[in-house]
Amino acid sequence: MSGSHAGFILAAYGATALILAAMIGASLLGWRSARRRLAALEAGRGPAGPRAPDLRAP
Amino acid sequence: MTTLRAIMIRELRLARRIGAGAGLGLVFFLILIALVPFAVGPDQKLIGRIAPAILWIAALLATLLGLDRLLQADEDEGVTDQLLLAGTPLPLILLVKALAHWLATGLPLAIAAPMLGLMLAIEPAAMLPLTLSLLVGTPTLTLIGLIGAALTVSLRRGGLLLAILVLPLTIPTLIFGVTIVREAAAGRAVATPLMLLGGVTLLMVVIGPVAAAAALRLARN
Amino acid sequence: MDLAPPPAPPAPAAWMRLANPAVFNALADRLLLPLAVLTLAAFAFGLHGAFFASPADYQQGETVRIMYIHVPAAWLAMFAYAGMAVSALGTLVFRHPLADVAQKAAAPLGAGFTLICLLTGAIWGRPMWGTWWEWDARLTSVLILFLVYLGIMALWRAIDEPGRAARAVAILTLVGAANLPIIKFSVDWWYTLHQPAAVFRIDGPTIHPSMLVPLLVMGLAFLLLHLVLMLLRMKTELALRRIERLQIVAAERGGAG
Repeated sequence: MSGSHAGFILAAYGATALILAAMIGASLLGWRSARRRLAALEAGRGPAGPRAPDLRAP
Repeated sequence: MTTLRAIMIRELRLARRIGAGAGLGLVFFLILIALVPFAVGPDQKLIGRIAPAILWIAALLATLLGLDRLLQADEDEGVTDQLLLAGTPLPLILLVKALAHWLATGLPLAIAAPMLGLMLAIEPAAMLPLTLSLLVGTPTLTLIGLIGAALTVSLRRGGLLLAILVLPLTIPTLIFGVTIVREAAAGRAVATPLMLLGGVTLLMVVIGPVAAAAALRLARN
Repeated sequence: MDLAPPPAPPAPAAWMRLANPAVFNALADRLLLPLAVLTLAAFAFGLHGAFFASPADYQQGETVRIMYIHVPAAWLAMFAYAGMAVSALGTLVFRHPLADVAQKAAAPLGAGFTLICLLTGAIWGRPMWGTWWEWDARLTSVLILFLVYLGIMALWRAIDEPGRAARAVAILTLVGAANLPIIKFSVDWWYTLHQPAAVFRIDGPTIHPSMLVPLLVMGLAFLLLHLVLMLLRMKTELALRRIERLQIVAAERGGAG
C-alpha cells in the first residue's frame, strides 16, 4: 500500500502550498505597494498612485 | 394597513402592465419544460425521474428573473424615498412587495404544476405533494431574493451578482422541495420534508424583510 | 444617526481604543514577527508529524496524510467565516471601523482555505472513492461555503464606497451565517436519504492519538498563518484608506489653490 499513492499526496500538498503561497504573496505584495504609496504621499508630492488626484477636484 | 393595501394593489397592477404577470410567467415555465425533452431525449422514464428537479429549477429561474428590478425600479423613480417616509415599517412594506412578486411567479407555478407534471410524467400520487411543496417553498425563494435585490439595489448591472448571492442560500428549499415529490412518488410519507420546508419558509419570512430593509436603509446613508 | 453627540465615555475599553488605526498598527507591528515565527515553527513541527511521526492508516494507507491539511483547512474555512460574522456584527451594531477592515481582510483568506479543503478532498477522493469528485455531504457543504465566499468577495468589489460596501457585505455575511447551518443540515439530510450506507471518511469518528497530535499542530499552524495574514491585510487596508483620504485632501487643496 505504501508508496502507491505518493503522487496523490504530493499533488495535495503541492496544491495546498501553491494556494497558501498565493495567499501570502498577495498579502505581502498588497502591503508593500500600499506602504510605498502611503510613504510617497506623506512625504509630499510623491507619485500619487494609479489614481490621479486632479480628477477628484470639484 | 391602507398603505400596505395601496402598495399591494400598485405592485400587482405594475406586474400586470409590464407583462411580468402570471400569464407570462406560465409561458416561461412551459418553454422551460418544452426544452427538457430536447436536452435529455424523449425518454418518458428519465423525464419522470428528473421532473421534480426541473420544476423546482424552473421556479428558481423564474424567481430570479424579475428580482433585480424588484426594488431598483422604485429606487430609480424615487418611490423608495416615499415609502421610507410613509411611517409604515419598511420590513412590512417589503414583505408586501415580496408577496406581490410571489403572486406573479410562485403561485402560478404551484397552480399549474399538476398540468405541467402530467407532461413531465410525474406519478399521479405525487401531484398534490408537488403543488403543496411549491406553495410552501416558493415564498422562500422570493424572500431570499428580496435580500439580494436590496443588497444590489445601487448597482447598475446587479443581475448576475444577485443570482450568485442568492442561489446558494436557496439550496435547503430545493432539497426539501424536490424530496417531497420524490418521496410521494415512491409512496412514502412526506410529513418530515414538508415540515422542514415550512420551517425554512417561516424563518425567511422573519429574516428576509428585516435584512432587506436594513440593506435598503444602509445603502442610502 | 443621532444628532446629539454621545456622552463622553469614562474610559474607552481596549477594543474601542483599537478603533484608532495608530493604536492598531502599533499592536499589529509588535505581534507580527513573533506570530510569523510561531507559524513557521508550527508548520515545521506539524509537517514533521504528518509525514514521519505518524503511522499510515490501516484502511487508507499513506493517503491519510492528506488529512493533515484537508481537515485544518476545513476548520479555518469555518473559523474565517465565524470571524467575518463577528466582524459583521461589529460593523452593523457598534460601527467599529476596524470591523469593516477585518471583514474585508478575512474574505479572500477564508475562500483560500475553502479552496484548499476542496482540492485536497478531491485529490484524496481519487484513490479512495475512485472519482475526483463525489457528491459527498461534507464536500458538497464546503463547495457551497466556497460559493458563499465568492459571492461575498464579488459584493465587496461591486460597491465602490468602502463604508457602504462594508455594511452591505455585513448583512450578507449575517444572512449567510443564519443560513449556513440550515444548508449544512439539509445537505447532510439529502445525503443520508440518497446514500444511507456509511462511506469511508477522510476523518473517521475515532482517531488515534498518534494522528491527532500532528492534526492539531497543523490546525494551529493554519490558524497562526490566518492571524498573521489577517494582521498584514488589515494594516494594508488601513493604509489604503489613509491613501484615499490623503488623495482627497490633496485634490481639494489643489482645486482650491
